[in-house]
Amino acid sequence: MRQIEWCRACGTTSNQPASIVCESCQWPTTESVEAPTALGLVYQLPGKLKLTKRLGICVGGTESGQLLLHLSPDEDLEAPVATPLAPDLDIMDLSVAGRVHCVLRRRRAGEIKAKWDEQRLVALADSSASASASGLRRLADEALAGGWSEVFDIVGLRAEEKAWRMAHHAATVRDVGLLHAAVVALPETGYPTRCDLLWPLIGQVLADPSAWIPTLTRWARSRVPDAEELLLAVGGSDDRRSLDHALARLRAVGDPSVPLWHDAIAAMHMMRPGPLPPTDCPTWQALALYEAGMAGMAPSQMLQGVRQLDPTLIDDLIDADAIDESSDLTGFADAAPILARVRPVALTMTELGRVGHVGEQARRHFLSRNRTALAALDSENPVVRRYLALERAREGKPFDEDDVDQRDAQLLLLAARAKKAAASGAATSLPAPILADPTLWPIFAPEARNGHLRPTDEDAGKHPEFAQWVGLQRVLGLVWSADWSGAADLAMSLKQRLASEQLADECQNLAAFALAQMGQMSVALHELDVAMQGEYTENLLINACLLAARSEPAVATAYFSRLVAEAPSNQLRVVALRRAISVWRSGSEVEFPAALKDGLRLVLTQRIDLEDYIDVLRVACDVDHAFVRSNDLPELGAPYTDPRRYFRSYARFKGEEGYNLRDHVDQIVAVHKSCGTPEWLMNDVREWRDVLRDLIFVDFGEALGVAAAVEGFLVGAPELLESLDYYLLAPQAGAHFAVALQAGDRYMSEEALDRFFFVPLDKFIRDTDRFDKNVVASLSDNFSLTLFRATLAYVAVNRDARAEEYNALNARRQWDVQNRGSINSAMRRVLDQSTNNITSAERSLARLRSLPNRTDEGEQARIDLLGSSLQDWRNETAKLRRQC
Amino acid sequence: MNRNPYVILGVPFGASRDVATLAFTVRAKKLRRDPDGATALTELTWALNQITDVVKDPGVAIDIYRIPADPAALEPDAPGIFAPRPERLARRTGDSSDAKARLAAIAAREGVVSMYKRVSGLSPLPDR
Repeated sequence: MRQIEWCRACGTTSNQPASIVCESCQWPTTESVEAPTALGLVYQLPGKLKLTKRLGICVGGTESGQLLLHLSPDEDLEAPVATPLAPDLDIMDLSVAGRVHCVLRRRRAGEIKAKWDEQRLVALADSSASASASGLRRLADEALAGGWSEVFDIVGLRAEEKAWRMAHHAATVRDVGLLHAAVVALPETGYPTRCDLLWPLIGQVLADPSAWIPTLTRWARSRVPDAEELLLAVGGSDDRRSLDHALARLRAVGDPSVPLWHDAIAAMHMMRPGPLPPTDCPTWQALALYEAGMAGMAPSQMLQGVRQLDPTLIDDLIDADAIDESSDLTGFADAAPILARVRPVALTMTELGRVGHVGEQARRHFLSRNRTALAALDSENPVVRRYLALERAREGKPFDEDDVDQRDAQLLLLAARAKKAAASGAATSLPAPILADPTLWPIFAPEARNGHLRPTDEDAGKHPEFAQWVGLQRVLGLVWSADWSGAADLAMSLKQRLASEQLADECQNLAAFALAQMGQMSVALHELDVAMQGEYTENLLINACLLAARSEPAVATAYFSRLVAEAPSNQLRVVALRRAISVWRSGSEVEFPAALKDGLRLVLTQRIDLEDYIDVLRVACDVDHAFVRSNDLPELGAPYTDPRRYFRSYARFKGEEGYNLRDHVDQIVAVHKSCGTPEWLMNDVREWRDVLRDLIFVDFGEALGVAAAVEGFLVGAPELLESLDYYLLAPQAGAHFAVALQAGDRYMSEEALDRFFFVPLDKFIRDTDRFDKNVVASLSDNFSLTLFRATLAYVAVNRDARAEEYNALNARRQWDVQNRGSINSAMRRVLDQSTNNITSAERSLARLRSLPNRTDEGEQARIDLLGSSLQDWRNETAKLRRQC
Repeated sequence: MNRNPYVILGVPFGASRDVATLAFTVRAKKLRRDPDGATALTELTWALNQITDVVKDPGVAIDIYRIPADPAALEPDAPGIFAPRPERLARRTGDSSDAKARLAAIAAREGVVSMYKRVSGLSPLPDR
């Protein structure tokens, strides 16, 4: 039996701790322990047929010490204590009532098969539980643990105690919602350890404190122990007290992090750097890092930790130099405002505009001499006014001294006076403060160039850079005044004394120009060669190309090749390449330089201006067709696709055996179908037409390749042949085909005759008004000759064929008497075919007769010859027909 | 050598139309007083015409000798009154006390929650 210090039934603390019942509610304040019993346990018995098992629940014992097992409403059975328990029920540790309720629930769920009398068993459970307060409490706890709400509801405890036990159960299973629902049912006073239920769940409570604040407020008002601390923790506004209470509580539970927290809290209270709290306190960490930064002790991770801080605190860190120009601001959502303060050069003009940094904008406009943009800025801004004043001073104009600080104003005024003196020739040297500021020297550039400025030996000794700058300006002045020998002499002597490569290169550039003007090209080029040792500008190389172009083409080509390779832009590279090709063509070197090939290939891999691309590709077809027809020539997409396709075909025609003119014409047609008639294509088409005309006028039958190319145009895109070429080339090609076919005893199809002769001829007859009389006569003759030749071939092949067929049948008719009738029919069919052939040929004859301006004797002779030939064939056919 | 319009006008290669026109005006003024200046004036006019109308893009003009080849060589690269340092933006935010107080309050709450979370793991339940 255990004495409890406060009453679970009503929650009050007894004034008489030794009392066994509560003075307030009379419920026992002691807890008794139930003696071990078999009641409620379930045993396993053999069935009547020994084949099955039966379950009996212990409802009592016999005087002989045996178990009384209940099997069914009709059967109880005495059994020895050694009877085996039913397996897997796990109810041994429950109270008697708990055992009964547990197995009855499982029987209802079908997990246990038994025919028990439920009323009898419930009565047993009730009597067992009601035997003591401890029994009821134990059953209530077992019901909560098992989730037997219907059992918990009927357990005969006071409502307050049931709320307490429900709360305790909720805390045990860490169900904060159930805990809250249970504790609000507790009375306002009593149950002194109720707050202890919350501490293990305080993390969850703090995650949603609003539900708890009213409850805790009531408890604190009722002086429930620890309620005030809990209220402070959950919703307190006194940070210092909250922290101190939390630390005290942490210390009370023996947490090892107490020293860390102690120091961190002390540092926070004193606003000084302290140790970093755990990572679940990012704001506190940021605060600690901020304090460290402000104290000049910024750790390396500070920047990452303070990213989310308010801009005013970031500004504090900048002012304290904890964030400076070397700080890595990666991860800041908007680093521009910070960069504007610590590293403004990192911002673009757009960003400067966004953050409103007018001062840096003004500085940049001043440096780029963009006076318009500078003047467009806020003229009331003192920084803008300062740069406007500096701008006027730099241009030699008067400025408002109030807009710059006093020291700068004095220096600028001194420079203005010195400029006046130097420009008038009154002074040849400059005051020391000006010599010490190289940014002021350009004001005196005109005087340096015209030779008015001559540094004294003392000035040159103290400021050698100034003396060198004056010297270089003087050389420039001599060049601009066309004093070539003076410029060359001074430059050649000055270059020895120049300290930097940059100045020496420029000096030699000037010297080379002057020498070239005097005709000393090779010396000039040598100067540039020397200047280009080490670092050099593209301008120097361009100048070397210019001078080299005056030398042998082979020399010049080498320089241009270098420029092509090193040009900083595609535009310049293309220009240089074109010039290089031009220089190469002007020379005697046959082989295209390898270095230029590289440049050419490089250019063709870039999306350059389309016109340049086509020009370079055209050159490449001549000098590097292997590259053009290879897959190394990249497909750059529109609008480069069609030129690439066309020139690849051209390159294949030039360099690939078996790729003939007809193949190329087919590609021309395909490209035309894709992109129409762009100028670059039509220029080439015109050239190809010229080529075809040059090649086709040979003996008929000898230019089949050319004829095939013409056929390519006729089939695919006759519109690409201008009318004159159409009327010339089509019949010529037809005649070549006809004669070639005749050699193989074949003749042109009707379709081919239409394509090569009749369609062009009909069109020509309608078109004659467009041409000069002589042209019409010439074209007529062309049609006459070609159509005559093709028709003759047709007649010859067919007449021979019909004669051969007829003669063979005639010979057979002599001996094949039995089939003479059918042979006669076959012979008549041959004659019919002859008649058809003659009719076809007469169609050509009719076209020949229809040709305009038919004044040429040759044309008439062809008509007569063809006419008599056909008439002879027709007469012969008629004669034979009479014999059949 | 080809005639160089920039050298004739005495302006750097790539100079703008405005600069070239100004240079033309200054030089032409002197030549007009010179009885023998007609030829030179013609030359100047040609040069101005080249720069304003013919040389469309000096960057790709490779027929003209470039003077200077490196403009920076004639512009001293050193600190001084006309090469001011970058302008750092002045602070625009005000006093940070309030922001810092807000930060401390949030930090304190974080600390309280963090410590009590540790407490929860170490607190036993009371007797039932």
